[in-house]
Amino acid sequence: MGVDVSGGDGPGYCLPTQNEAGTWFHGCTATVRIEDYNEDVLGASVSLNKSEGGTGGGWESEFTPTEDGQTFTFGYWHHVDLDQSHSTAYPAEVSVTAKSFNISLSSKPVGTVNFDMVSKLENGQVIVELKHSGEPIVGMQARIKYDTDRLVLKDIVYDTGNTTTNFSKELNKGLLFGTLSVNGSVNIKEGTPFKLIFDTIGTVNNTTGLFYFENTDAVKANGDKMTLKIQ
Amino acid sequence: MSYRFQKIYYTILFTLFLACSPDYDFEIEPYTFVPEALVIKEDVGIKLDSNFATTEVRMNVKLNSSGNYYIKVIDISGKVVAKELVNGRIGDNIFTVYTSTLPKSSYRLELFHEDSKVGTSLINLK
Repeated sequence: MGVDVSGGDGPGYCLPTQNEAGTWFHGCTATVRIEDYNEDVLGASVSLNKSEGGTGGGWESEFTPTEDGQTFTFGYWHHVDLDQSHSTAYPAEVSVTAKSFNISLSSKPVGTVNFDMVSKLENGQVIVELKHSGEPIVGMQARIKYDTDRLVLKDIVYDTGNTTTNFSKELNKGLLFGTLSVNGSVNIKEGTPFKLIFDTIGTVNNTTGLFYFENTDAVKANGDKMTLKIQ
Repeated sequence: MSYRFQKIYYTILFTLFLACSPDYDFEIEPYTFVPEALVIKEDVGIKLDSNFATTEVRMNVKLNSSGNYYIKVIDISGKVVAKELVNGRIGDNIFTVYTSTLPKSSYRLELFHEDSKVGTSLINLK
């Protein structure tokens, strides 16, 4: 959760949103003058829209240069979700800011789970297989983008186990899919839990570049978030 | 000899001649035309006809042994975003790298045989 520094009639909070293209946006981003780039100003700005009649109390979001050739130095303030896992790229300075805010980063991924992925052209279809080596995770999701001018999703074959809940959602030129053991009691089955089958449009010589993995997440039974590394 | 007899005679003779000839096995090796921009001097490697691409670019994968090879697409953070299994044959193998879906950035294409990296190339999408 961040602060909506853009003002307006909103509650002043910036929650992650997903646009029609399926892209998550979590971005309260502000470029501020360097003299305002300190804890006093940025920390106070948490209640920015609630202070001094909601005027933004002390926060100068705009200014007009009055002298030619004057150099302004800016700091960059970027809000992301707490574990900074879903956001645009952030500059190194933000870690200093986060430190001064005492933001806990304990929910950052604590480990890595490897998934082997391979795609191939087979009988005129593009097959994408995700292979799980058996490391204990109770949920995972992946978001891929694919070339909709050349591929049509035909099927998703799940082999995740008998009690996990599988899900998928077609996005604009992409696909979100995954599985979750709702009560966290069962690990995802080892083997090939996901197999995506695409029909091809026109002549496709091979699969390189026809799709890519945009985002992946995994979670263990104790709630630890894992980085899902595609190999 | 009559004309009719000669016709039958020579037909049988020609048939016997063919029947007694040894069998020859002809092996036609597939020929892959390799454009100059894709020529690889080394025995093994990977090469693109251009390191800048918009929608697609041709790629030559030259192998010194047939079998399963992997082409990995790796983004600038070092993350594997795609991997293809190709059954390559000895010599030049011309593929296409489709790039219209990939975000505009720089990528590294790496060629693996088993777990060994045998070639690499860079591609910039514009």
